[in-house]
Amino acid sequence: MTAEHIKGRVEISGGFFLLAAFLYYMDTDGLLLRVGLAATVHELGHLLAIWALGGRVSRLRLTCVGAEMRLASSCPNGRMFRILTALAGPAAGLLLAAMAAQISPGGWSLAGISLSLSCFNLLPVAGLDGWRALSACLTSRWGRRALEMVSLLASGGLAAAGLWTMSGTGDPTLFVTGSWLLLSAVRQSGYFSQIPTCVPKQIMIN
Amino acid sequence: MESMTYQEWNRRRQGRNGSTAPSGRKKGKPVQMGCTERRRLLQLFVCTMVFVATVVGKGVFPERMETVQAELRQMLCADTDLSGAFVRLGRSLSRGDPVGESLGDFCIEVFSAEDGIRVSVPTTSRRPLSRQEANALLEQGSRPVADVLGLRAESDCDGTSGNDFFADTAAVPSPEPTEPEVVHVDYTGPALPANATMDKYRLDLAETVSPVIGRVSSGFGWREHPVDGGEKFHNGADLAVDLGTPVKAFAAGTVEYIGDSPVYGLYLQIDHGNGVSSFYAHCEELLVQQGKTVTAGEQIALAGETGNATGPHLHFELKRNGIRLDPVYYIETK
Repeated sequence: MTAEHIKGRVEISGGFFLLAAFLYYMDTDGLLLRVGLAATVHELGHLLAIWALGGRVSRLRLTCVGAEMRLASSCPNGRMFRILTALAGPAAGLLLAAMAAQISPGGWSLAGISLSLSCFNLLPVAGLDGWRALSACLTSRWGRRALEMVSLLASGGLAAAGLWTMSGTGDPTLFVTGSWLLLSAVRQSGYFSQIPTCVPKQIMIN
Repeated sequence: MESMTYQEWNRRRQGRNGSTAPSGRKKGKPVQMGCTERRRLLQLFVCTMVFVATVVGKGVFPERMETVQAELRQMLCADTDLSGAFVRLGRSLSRGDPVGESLGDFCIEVFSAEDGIRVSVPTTSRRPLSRQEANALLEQGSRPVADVLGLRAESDCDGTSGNDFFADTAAVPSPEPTEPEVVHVDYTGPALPANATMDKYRLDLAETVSPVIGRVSSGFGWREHPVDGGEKFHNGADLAVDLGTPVKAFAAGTVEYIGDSPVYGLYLQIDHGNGVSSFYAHCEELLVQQGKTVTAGEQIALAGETGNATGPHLHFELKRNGIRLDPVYYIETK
């Protein structure tokens, strides 16, 4: 891929740099590097699956809430395509975890990070890979309704657990993450949708 | 500097406004574009302000910023030893433990503060050293007294980063021949068991190495047992280190025995000659077999929390003619 290809297709927000700088500043264990590696492998999993199934990524955005790939409108939009591309990220993460776990004890940390990242992404909360795969599976109206409820409950639970942690330790990260997911679940559910949802043909992949 | 930046924004804003024409891109409606652009600009503005505030803050009040950083770190890592939690999760994966169970443990550890404390601080000696002991140790002057007393401030909430230290485990120079055979250390605490002494004996070993460099979470002597409760004599020193930290042989010798027990977990003992032997317990993994000849500093095990332990640490004992010595006299600690 040439520079011309990349130009205009990769977008990195200021928030991403700010968060990266902040985490780098706070990080003393070299944890950030391992988290970055695990996240890169996760995204590569998505990307390879998209390419392998004949899709094309029109734009890659790196923001403070994660990476986001926008598919070209010419992509296949079948159910299998959506399921497989959604699950490819966590699958790559699990593979990385399994491989890193073999390198003892140096790889344990990376294995743990990659495993927890993959499992987190498999949660059935709107915006995460688990939800994406499920929503591609469930096409009936009742199935969608049920998924919305599960998404709301899971993200609400996560936010509550984050609040509990924050009250105990003062650490706001889990609460912020949970709230963000709850917000996206609420937005997705359409109960309070003032915000226009994205154009249907453009699927975003976190 | 600020006016420059402002001009840049202005230019950028004008540039963007100019390009919001519907022909710019195919996706979305023009109204949405304007909205997005405005949001982007706001994001950029906020980011730049935070950045400028940090840079200016660091230049003008460096001390204040240090405090803020320390407070932030305290708040963010709180009592949860996050990197430790990740390592444990990865280790359970390598062992083939049920993933669901270890993930559950991981969640409990991350979500509840109490468990974080349990994990990050293995065991703490309840018995403070007597003044005489402290003075005796001070006289030796071999290392900062705060370290010996285990009083090191526990400000580093980022967990024990023992892994960074195995590379530079400095060899403690062996005692000079002029050193007396025994340095009497005054001890006023409860009577010692017959097989233990607080005196510092000369070991007459060619070279000695600290098995791990860690914080002394529980020292040699009487203590309230962290798991069983009740006063028990602690035959060695507990050195808090990360899981999987390489354990080095204290000195050259032969592996006398290795074993596994519910109390000590995986353990081994090395005979160094001169009647001196060293004992290592709660290991994650043993890397030597019985009868193997080892050199000083050779990697013999990985530190862990097997057996009766509340967190990853190395239980290190030193014996001379069957009498247990305080290992802290002979090793480097954090």
